[in-house]
Amino acid sequence: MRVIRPSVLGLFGFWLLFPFLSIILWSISTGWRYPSVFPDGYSLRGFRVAFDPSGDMLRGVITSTLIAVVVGVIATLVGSAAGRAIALYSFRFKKAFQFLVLAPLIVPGLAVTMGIQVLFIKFGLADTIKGVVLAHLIPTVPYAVMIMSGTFANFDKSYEEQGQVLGASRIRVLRRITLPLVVPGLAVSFLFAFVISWSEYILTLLVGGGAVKTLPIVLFAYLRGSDLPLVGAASIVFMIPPLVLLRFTSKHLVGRTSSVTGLGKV
Amino acid sequence: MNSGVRIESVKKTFGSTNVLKDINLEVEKGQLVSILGSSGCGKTTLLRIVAGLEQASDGHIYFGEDVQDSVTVEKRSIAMVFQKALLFPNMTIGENVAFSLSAKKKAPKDLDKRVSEMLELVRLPGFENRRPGELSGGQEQRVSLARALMRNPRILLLDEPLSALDANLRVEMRNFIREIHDSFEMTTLFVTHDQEEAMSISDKIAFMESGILEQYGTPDSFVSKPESRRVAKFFGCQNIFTGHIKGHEFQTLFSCFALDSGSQHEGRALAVRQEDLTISSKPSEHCFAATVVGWQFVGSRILVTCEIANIDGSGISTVFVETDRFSELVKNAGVFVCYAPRRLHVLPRGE
Repeated sequence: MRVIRPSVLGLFGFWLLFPFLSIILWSISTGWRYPSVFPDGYSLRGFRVAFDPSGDMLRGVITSTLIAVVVGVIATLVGSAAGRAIALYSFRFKKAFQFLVLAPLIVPGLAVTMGIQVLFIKFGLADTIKGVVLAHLIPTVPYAVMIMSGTFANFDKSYEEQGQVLGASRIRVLRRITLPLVVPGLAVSFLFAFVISWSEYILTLLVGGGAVKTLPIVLFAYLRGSDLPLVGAASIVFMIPPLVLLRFTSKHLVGRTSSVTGLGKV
Repeated sequence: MNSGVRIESVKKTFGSTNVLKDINLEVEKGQLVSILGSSGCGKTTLLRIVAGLEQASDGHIYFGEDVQDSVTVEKRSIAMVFQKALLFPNMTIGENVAFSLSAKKKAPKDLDKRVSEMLELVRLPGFENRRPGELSGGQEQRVSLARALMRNPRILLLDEPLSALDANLRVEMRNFIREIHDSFEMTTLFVTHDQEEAMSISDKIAFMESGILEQYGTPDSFVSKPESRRVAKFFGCQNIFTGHIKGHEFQTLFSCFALDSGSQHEGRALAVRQEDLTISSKPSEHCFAATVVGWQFVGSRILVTCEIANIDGSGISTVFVETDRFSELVKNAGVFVCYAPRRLHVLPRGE
């Protein structure tokens, strides 16, 4: 293993962490004017306002979590099915199917959303959480499919046959053999979908029409209100869930569990 | 509970290719039968149909008297070992071996004991808590066999279980499989492409070629009484002469062979194994003149190439003789190639 020089590491760390540092300082400051290096004074007012039960933020956290979890689960399910098909089976129009799966990453989301909004209003999905979930699936499913097709490309179908010829039913094969072997892929796929949904702003705004207040929508409103200590505090709250999730899935992102290598076959 | 297998007019087509063309095969209870053939002959497909992993396009599979056609894979009383050991990487060796039993609604109380007994049987005592990655190829394959035997199936199916192992280990493992078979007396179907492997461990061999069952019989019958050119060639017979029967003789392009008068012969090709021929400097009752043109070592023996002019002057025929007497060989020397009539075999289907 190569060793990175401490100075390089320090520079890199500073570049990554400096924005966070200023957010943390803002969140506990009373004010911070231009020439001074450090804030004028410190207080926890930002956090107190942010965590006010009658404020928007706590409800935003709940809405965002709900949407991101549902999106993560659905995207991972769809991604598993499509990824397995792409990696393990050959079928007619496979190339076209692969292209269509990736298309949402290539076509600008905003353009599509305009069309979607008209459609959603027609079906009564505009301004609802259901509609927002559906909209969030557009940018998340392609990633889930890519991750899961990579996972299944490294999955040996023979394990399933081996289970069957030892008397295991399909359900038992799925539970005892297939699932444990693709868990790293599922975890990474869920992480990606969750994080993308968690930080999605434009789609939520257009489809949710301000009625569905996810955390990014709330945060944006704070930003316009220019109460920067509050923005700092809310930003910190905003960063925590993805980091917690990353903590639990990181072992699947690198090394050891070899089932997820790169981003798959698509 | 042990039973035989009956394969009845099984056909299989993939798209427009006929992989299996009307296979009929009956395996007696408790026997070890090898399905032998070169790659692509359909032997693995046949085994997968017996296992239920593939559906036959036509025909029936019976275990004993029970028709299996509509029985799903997991309900068939089989256990199968593949070319790769396929130990489930998320389980320990012990959990792998216990797999078929831990599934049942009530796992046997003495499961742990049975697992350790089975591991002892495959000579891996105390391996319960190891992980699959820590084992060598031969050890993995033995665990795979133990895992299959734990199910106590009516039929044991082995799909080239030794071809991923290196040569020495293969010989050891095939003897081991025979031992295990003898102690369980389990009906076993063993797919292989290795002629020597099939010869050494089988009660009977089913030889397949291009989706057809060419010959079915004891290992010995493939050497002494091959039924077709393909079988004779696959089992290493290097001399196959085209010709016709004339009374008690077989007329080839270059000589007339005296046949054993005690048995019936029919066919248009004569198979003579190279080790059944001898080279002599003097003529005897059953021999013909030939010229030594070269030789090469085959193991500790020598394969001599001889040439004889055809009777009608149409060219030259080649005869191979295997001998262990090197000193007598002189290049381009005229010799006599001798044979024993009862060692000659006319191929019934040797068109």
